[in-house]
Order: sequence, then C-alpha cells, then structure tokens
Amino acid sequence: MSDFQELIKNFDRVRDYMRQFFLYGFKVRGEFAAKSGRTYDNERRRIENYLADYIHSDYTSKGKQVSIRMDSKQILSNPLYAAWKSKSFTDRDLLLHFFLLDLLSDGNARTVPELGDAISLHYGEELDSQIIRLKCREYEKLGILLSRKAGKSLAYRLAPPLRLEEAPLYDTLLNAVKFSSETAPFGFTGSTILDREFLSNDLFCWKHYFMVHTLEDEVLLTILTAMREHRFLSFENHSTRSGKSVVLEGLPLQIFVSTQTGRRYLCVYFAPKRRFNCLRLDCIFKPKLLAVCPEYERYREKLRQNLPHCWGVSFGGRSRMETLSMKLYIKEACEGHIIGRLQREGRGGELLRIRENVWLYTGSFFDTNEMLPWIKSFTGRILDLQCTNQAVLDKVTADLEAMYQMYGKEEEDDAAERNH
Amino acid sequence: MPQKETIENLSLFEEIYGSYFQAVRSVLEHASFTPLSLQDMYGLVRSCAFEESASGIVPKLTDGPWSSLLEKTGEKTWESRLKSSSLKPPLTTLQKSWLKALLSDRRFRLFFTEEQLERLSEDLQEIPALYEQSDFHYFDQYADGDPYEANEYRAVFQTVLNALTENKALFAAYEGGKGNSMTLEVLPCRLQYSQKDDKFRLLSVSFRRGRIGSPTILNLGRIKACHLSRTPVPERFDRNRFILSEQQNEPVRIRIENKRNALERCMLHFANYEKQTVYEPDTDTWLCSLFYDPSDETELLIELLSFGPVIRILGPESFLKQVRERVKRQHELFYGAVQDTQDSF
Repeated sequence: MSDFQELIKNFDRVRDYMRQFFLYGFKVRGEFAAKSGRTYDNERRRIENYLADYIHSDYTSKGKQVSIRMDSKQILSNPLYAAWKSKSFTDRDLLLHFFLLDLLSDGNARTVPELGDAISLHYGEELDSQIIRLKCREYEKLGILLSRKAGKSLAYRLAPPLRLEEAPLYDTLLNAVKFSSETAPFGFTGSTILDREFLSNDLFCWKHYFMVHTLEDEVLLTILTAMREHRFLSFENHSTRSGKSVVLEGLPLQIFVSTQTGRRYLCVYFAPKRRFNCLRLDCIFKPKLLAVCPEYERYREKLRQNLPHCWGVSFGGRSRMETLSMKLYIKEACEGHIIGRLQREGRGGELLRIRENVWLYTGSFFDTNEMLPWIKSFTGRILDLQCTNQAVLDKVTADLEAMYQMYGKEEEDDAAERNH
Repeated sequence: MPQKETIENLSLFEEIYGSYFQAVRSVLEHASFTPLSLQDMYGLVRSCAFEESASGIVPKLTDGPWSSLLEKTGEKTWESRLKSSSLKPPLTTLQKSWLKALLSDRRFRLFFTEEQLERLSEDLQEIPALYEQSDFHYFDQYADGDPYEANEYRAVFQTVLNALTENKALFAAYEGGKGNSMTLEVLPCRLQYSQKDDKFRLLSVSFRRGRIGSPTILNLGRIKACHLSRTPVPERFDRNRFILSEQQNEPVRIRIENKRNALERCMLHFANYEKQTVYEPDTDTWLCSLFYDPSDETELLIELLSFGPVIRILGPESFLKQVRERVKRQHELFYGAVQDTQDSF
C-alpha cells in the first residue's frame, strides 16, 4: 500500500466510515458494499491512525470487524475531531504558511513581490508570485491576513491579536474554551483554539456525551448560513431505512437537538405541503443556498408557537393535538425522586396528586407516539393509561404485554439462553 | 479603519487547523531554541499528529521538500531557519465568530465577571456570531438545570474552578439529598457536565486533616458556599487517578431485534457507552454488550426499559432480576391487585 495517505482532500470520504465504525462496529469488509474493498482498506487504515487508542478489531467467520470503542465518561476531548484535522495540502501550502507567519511576524505589511524576494533571500525557495498571491488571498479570507492598498498593489500583514490575548483574562477565556469545545455547537473550533496554545482540556469531563455528531458540522455550517440569510435550502436527504436519496427544497428554521441521544435535526418548512418537518442532520448531504424568503420571520414565529406542542421532533399527522394521561403509583415517603422525574422530564405536561401515592400526568402534544419510550421507562408504576389516539394506547399496551411474555413468563427460556 | 469580517464561506475543514501543520509548528518552535535530534522530532510530531504521521513528516523536514524550514547544525541535529520563535497564527474569523457566539451561552458566561464579559464583548464587537442560541432547540433537556444566572451559583462555580486550576483543596457548605446540611473539605479532580441534566457535578476526593479519603461527587447546585482551603495538597495527590470511573466487570448484554429500526435507535441511544455489537445471522438479531459505571445502573435500566420488547435484556443476572421485577409488577398493576412498592428508579 505504497500510495496510502493519512490525509484526505474530501471530508465526506471519512465521514461515513467513521460513523459506521463508531456507531455500529460490527460490519466486516464485505458489508461496506458501496465502495471497493481497497477503498475500505484505505479508510479503515486512516481511521485506525486517527483514533489508534480507541480502535478494536475482532475476527469473526466473515472477517475482521473494526469498531471505535470508548466510554464517554472517560474522554476529555472528542477524539473524532481528528477527522477535521486531516485535510491534505501541497508542499508549497505548508512552506508558504510558515514563511508568511515568519516574515510578517514583525508587524510590517509587504506586497506579493516583496514577499517573493524575502522568501528567496531568507529560505532559498523560488516561489511563483501568483502562488504567493493566491495564498495571501486565501489567508485574508480565513482572517489570518489583512490587506491594504500600497500604490497599485496590495500589501499584506498579519491580523492583529485580540487585545484580550495580552491580558490575564485570556487564561480564563481558554478555560471557558476547554469547556465549550466539548459542549457548544461547532466545538471542534474550540479544539483548534486550544491547539493554537498547545493546550488540552484538563479541567472537565462529561456525562451523556455523544461525540459522533461532530461529523455533521460542515453541513450544519451551511444550513446556519441559510438561516442567517433567511434563504431557502436545497439538499439531498438519504433514508437510512430504504437507502434511497431524494433532493428536497425547504425553508430551514431551527436545529432540534436531543440531549439524550445527541441526534440533531433540521426543522424545515415545506411551503407546498404547508408543513413543518424535522429531518436528521446525519442524513443530509450537499446543502445549497437558494433564494431569500421575505417572510422568513413569519414562519419562524409560527414555529415558535408550535414548539410547546412538540414532544420531540414530530408535528403530528391529521389529528392536530393528542392528549395522553398516565396514572402512576409512587410511594411518596421514599420515592420523591420519581415525582421529580415527572416534573423535569414531562415537557410542560400537567402533574396532579390524585390521592396519597397516586399521581396523574397529563400532556397534550402533536404526536403522542413519540412519548412511548418515556412512558415505558415508568414500567412497574403505571396504574392506568388513557390517550386520545387509540393506536398509541394499543401499541404501548401490546409492548408492555410483550415484555411480560418476555421476562415474566419465560424465565426458563432466559436461563437456557444465558447458559447457551 | 478595521476591515469588516464576514462569515461567508467559512469552512471547518482547512489545512491550517490540521495536525500536520500543528506538528511542524511544534518542531520549528522547539528548533528555534535548541537544535533537535531526529528522536526529538519524532517525539514532538507524535504528540501532535496521528499514528503514522511522524514517519512522513520528519524525513520531509530533514531531507525532503520541507527542508528549507530547517538547517542542519551538527551531524545529527537541526535548528529552525525561521527568525521567529513563535509561529502562532492569528485567530481566524471562524475562531473569533465562534467565541462571539459563546458570549450568549449561559454556561460560558459562568467563567467570567460582568466586567470581563463587557471587555470580551468590546474585543469581539466587529465580529459576527457564528450562530445564535435560538438557532438550537434542545427539546428533551431536563427542566431543572443548574441556575447559571444566580449570583451565588456563579460565585461557587468560579471558586471551584479556581481550586481546580490552582490545585487547592476546597471547603464547601453542602446540602445533601435529604436536605441535610454539611461541611466538607475536598480535593477537586474534575468538573463533570451533562447536557441532558444541564448540570455540573464536582468529582472530588474527600480530604480531612490533610488525609486523602474516598471519591466524592458533589452537585454544584447544592454547594451553598465554598472557599479555598489553606491546607496544602499532598504532593502525591494525582487527580487523574480519581476521575476514572469503575466499570462493572460484567457488561449488560442485550439482544436487538431486527424490527422497528431498533438497531439504529439502540446504537445511537447508547453511543455514550462503551459497547461491542455482533450480528447473529441465525436469528437475524444483534448481540450488544454495554459496559457501564455501576453508579449509572438505574439510569441504564430505565433507558433499556424504554425500548420495550424490541430488545431483550440477557444479563447479568442481578440486572435481569430488576427488569423482571418491574415488568411483573407492571402486569400486576394492570391486571391484578398491588399492595405496596419497594423498588425505586
């Protein structure tokens, strides 16, 4: 594999493989059918290099399984940020980067010909003016260089540091960056600020940390640009179930985030259907900005009005509002924390004490189907359930019955399976 | 006249943020102070970049296309040819606009006084924010998060942070779970944050009369007041040792059915746990082992129950026993008489 390169040109190449290894970790080479075996080998080796400390390999009858295994409570900084730090470049890119930082460190501005002469004089490299010019423009766009007119040409200098970089306040800021680089949107950016100081997080650790979603951040950046500019957006939406992909156009309004799974969704208004819809960010590819929507704020306001009726990410079907009531047995003397759970997890639902040890939770939402996992987390306490959507009621009752069949009646089967 | 910065066409995937640039910068900065051997360079690159990077980067610097950055000074040492010993690039627009966005983050603001926040706002005045807090809707975050705006909480947070950064012991007036007040002296190890709970917890070790005790977790919201202790921290104290949670030897094993998208839901939901998954073609199911901290057992139990019958919990026996009790009890509540309840979750 002499042509193996650790670095990559296109982020999407590594995005899917890294996600598959991290989330699933049981697929073998032959199951990555979308690409050739050689592509698989290269991507696997790359990811093994980026995340050497977290890679596990197991051998099955079908072949080698590669998985990324980590306990988020033991992680100080998201190892998947490594993927963002793997962009390929040319030799000239690297040389020019350090030549420019070195030459311009004196604070003086220089034109492109002056930079070319200085590079030749100090480092013995002859670089074409056009290449230097392009790099200066690129760095100006990134915010590293500033330009001003010098006669007919432009003279470039390093962007000045923020004033606070010289003050003791900067150390406090870096502590806040240690925190925010793992908790705020686009946390990867914070990790580059820490890299710039050769620092890493040594103050914080995390619980309920879902690291894989950093892989969607470039897509998110384009979506946020559309939101800021009040633009429609077109994008490819991949269905994970059918494997099919469709191109959609809509008005992006907000990002819905689950703190319990890390999943993020784009909430879009689809004008022809006159519907809000949430689509998983990890299924969105190739977002493109379209025309400005003059009524953007009106739709955003409409969404704001709808939010209290969303349990999760669904805006429901034909019935515009459903009500679910759950009566629970809670031994108040020693189980106050269950009442606490209902209050903090009930998302605005009403909680009533019916009588001693019996509490009633009632919530009205667009789609009570989304509440079922939460309802089932109270298994062992539910005295009664009522719902205006009979299908939801049937489903949860059937699930609880199936669980009884599974655990209550089939103890012998369980024992047999464990022995097996 | 400062040039107005815009955030059009920003990209996260840029070589200047890359590990290779970081590694080369590290070598050049060190080589500007003292000549480096090959071994020094390999060590510096390994600490910044990936597994196989050093074998690509170091030869390019010493004898390849990047060798104009270094000068050979002895038979086996090199020094920087650059005149500047600091090659720290200015902050990019992306980095500054991310910092600007953080100014509206309630948690970020905890680190600063109001005066400091004003100073930060002034410094970033010309910079557009990368995003607004209102761009995001955290729909399932718990409603009883820590009171970040309360002055008392902010004072506690900043004192705890001081204790951590300055490696000092901390005296804390603490309100226990049952409302009982106590005074504690602890050695702070790490501040733990959960986005789901929207709470900080201080992972620490009890410290009494200069003696190191057992791991102690304090909810920051329950620390009523605190100050730095004058008792010196023992030299042998290594706070990293205490943040490593103890994982149960035996993981929870579950069988995931191939229906209702259960596999994907499980893999995403339990992505914060260390896990191992194997497909079983004979039954068209997946066997998944979840490794967990014993202190999270109840939380994991109710998370697994929320999946209903699309997963089957196989063990360990003590875990399975709790599942059976709850499921049987639920059946009794629906279809039979129940006298009392003992368990809690």
